[in-house]
Amino acid sequence: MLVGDVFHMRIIVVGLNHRTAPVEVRERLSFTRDRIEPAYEALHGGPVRECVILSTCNRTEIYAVVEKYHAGLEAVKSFLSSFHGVERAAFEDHLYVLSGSEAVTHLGRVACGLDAMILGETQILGQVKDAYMAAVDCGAVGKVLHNLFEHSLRVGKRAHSETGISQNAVSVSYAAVELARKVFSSLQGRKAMIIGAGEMSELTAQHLVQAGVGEVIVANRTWERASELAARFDGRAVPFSEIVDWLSRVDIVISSTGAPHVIIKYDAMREALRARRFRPIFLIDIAVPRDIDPEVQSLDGVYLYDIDDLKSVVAANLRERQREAEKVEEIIREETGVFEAWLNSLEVVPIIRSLRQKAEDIRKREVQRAFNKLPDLTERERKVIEAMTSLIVNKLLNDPLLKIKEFANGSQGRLYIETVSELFNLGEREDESDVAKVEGGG
Amino acid sequence: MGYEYVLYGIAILFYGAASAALVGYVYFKRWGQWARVLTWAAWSLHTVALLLRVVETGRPPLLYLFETVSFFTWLVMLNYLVLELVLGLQVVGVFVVPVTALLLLTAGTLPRGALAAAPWLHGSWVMAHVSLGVLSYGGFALAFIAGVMYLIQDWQLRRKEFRPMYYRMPPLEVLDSMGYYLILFGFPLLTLALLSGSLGAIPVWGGAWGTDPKVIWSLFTWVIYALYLYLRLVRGWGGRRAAVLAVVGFGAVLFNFFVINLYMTELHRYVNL
Repeated sequence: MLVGDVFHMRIIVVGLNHRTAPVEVRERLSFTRDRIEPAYEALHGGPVRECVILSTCNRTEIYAVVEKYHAGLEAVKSFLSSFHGVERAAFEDHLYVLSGSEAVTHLGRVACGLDAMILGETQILGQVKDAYMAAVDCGAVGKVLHNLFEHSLRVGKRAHSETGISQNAVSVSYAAVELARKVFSSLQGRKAMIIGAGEMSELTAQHLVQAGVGEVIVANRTWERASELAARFDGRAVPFSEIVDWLSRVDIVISSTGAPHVIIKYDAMREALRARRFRPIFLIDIAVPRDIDPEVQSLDGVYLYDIDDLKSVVAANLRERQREAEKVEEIIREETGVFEAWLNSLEVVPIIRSLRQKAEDIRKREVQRAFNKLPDLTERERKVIEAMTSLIVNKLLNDPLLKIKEFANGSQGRLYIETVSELFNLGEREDESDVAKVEGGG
Repeated sequence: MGYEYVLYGIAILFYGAASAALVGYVYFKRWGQWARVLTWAAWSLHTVALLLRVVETGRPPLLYLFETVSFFTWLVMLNYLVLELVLGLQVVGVFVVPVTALLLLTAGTLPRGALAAAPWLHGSWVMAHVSLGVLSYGGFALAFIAGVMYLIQDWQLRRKEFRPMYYRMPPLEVLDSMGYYLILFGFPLLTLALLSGSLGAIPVWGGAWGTDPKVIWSLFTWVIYALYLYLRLVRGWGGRRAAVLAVVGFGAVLFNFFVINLYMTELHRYVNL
């Protein structure tokens, strides 16, 4: 029986995400860090040989290696229901269930951020890793999931390094920084001026400082707020009236005041540009109504973006990521192939061993029977018969065994393995210790 | 000479294919690797064709118009390939490679006039003059491309149109200083080319060369680049205006090379095959 289970070992994923389930459902099925150990205790064991729980704010997914598909699926579903105290009817319609190579591909897509709310986000890769580590700590991971998660982490890393799936900002404040990078060869040591100390300008300034901007100048109507913000960035606060003077000395301006009128006028900007000898200046105007006269855009070296412009950059960036998604799918396909070849090879070893074992058992039994019928055989005659029967068995098995190894790496590998196992009725012969060896780390 | 035509034909085909792949690269980044392979293949064939010519004739390939164009585009490609290796600016190739393909194709199909092998063309002054001129044009050509790229990216940043090309472009400041350094490299070479030309011409042509249209036009070109450097170094120019000037300067070079050489000058006419 046990060998048969090895052959029927399946990887399944049961889960729901931001697309299939509303937040009311997702929150009821999510796993918090402090309850993860009891969760593994309840889930691991029985039909669930190995498992990893991946729970983020956008998804709850259970990856499991099960002996029997239906029994395993039932076990996972009833675990979700009983552990969270939620009736199955409340979430069952939102669940997706994938198995075999579809499950493997799915985890790859999750790890790369293809399945994420924001295409190509990188946070999920860390969450996949954390989930895997937590499962390892709880002793719920065996050989199969260990390899599966290593595979998915590799896929994620390749996707981020070999494609542009996670490049180009998809948040407004970060998009501003990237735009600045398209103008200036480096942000190292540049000066930035923040006008109006709002939350948005603070966030943008933070990104700018991280990107290397050297000095931050803050101008605000209320002096206290200006000095407070300046202190945070190790910068300096300047009076509101000095803004125009500073235009010739800074490279980046972020403006977000609540002023009802324009603060930076066309003439002032033109003067400033002359003073800065037409070195480019980068202006972000997040205020509504706008703080900077849009006319200044016609001046040489002025790059001005308002909030709508930044939003359109984000939209364009997402389209650009979409283009890269195809390449990521290719990487996933490639790596999934590698993983499945490994999985099949894992199954082919016990198949070969039990096929050999079965043949050898038959041979020995039949030879013994023949010897019993022919007690007068000399030692030499016995040896010849032994050798001949061995030879027949080996020659007969030689081709099938070679072919099994070969087919196991093909796309239909599992089918061949199962066929061979059925054909030779291998499910009932092996003893327990052998299986334990095959499963190793389990 | 048949094999040479075949080599050039294949090289042009490869340049064409590389151009197509580079355009594809603008839209799909991964096409870049194919573009790179094709570009190197094209340039290698180009190199072999040029080397064969040099070995066969035992002189720099600067006597015929086609040779000169071939050598010039080869040089520009060399500059570009170095730029790509060092700075990773494959996007420059989107402009350089198609222009190379077109120039080679145009030069290969230009009308052929009477053979006029002038003995004075082989003098060392002349060779120095021509080599320096072509080297300086190589610098100006890339400065021109940096200028065009600057204007395109500047336009995209102002119009807030974020097309695929926007993502491939380097920062404006990089394009700006790229143009500057290339002109800084080309200008002294052009100056030396003009000087060596004048010195070499005195014993051959006497005073008559002073009114040759090519000489006048070359001086005009020199003035444009001198102005570029003056405005940049003294007046602090840069950015869009400098880019426009780099484009105008190379326009003058192209006019000199194709129009004046072919139709207007007697003294500087290329020997036709």
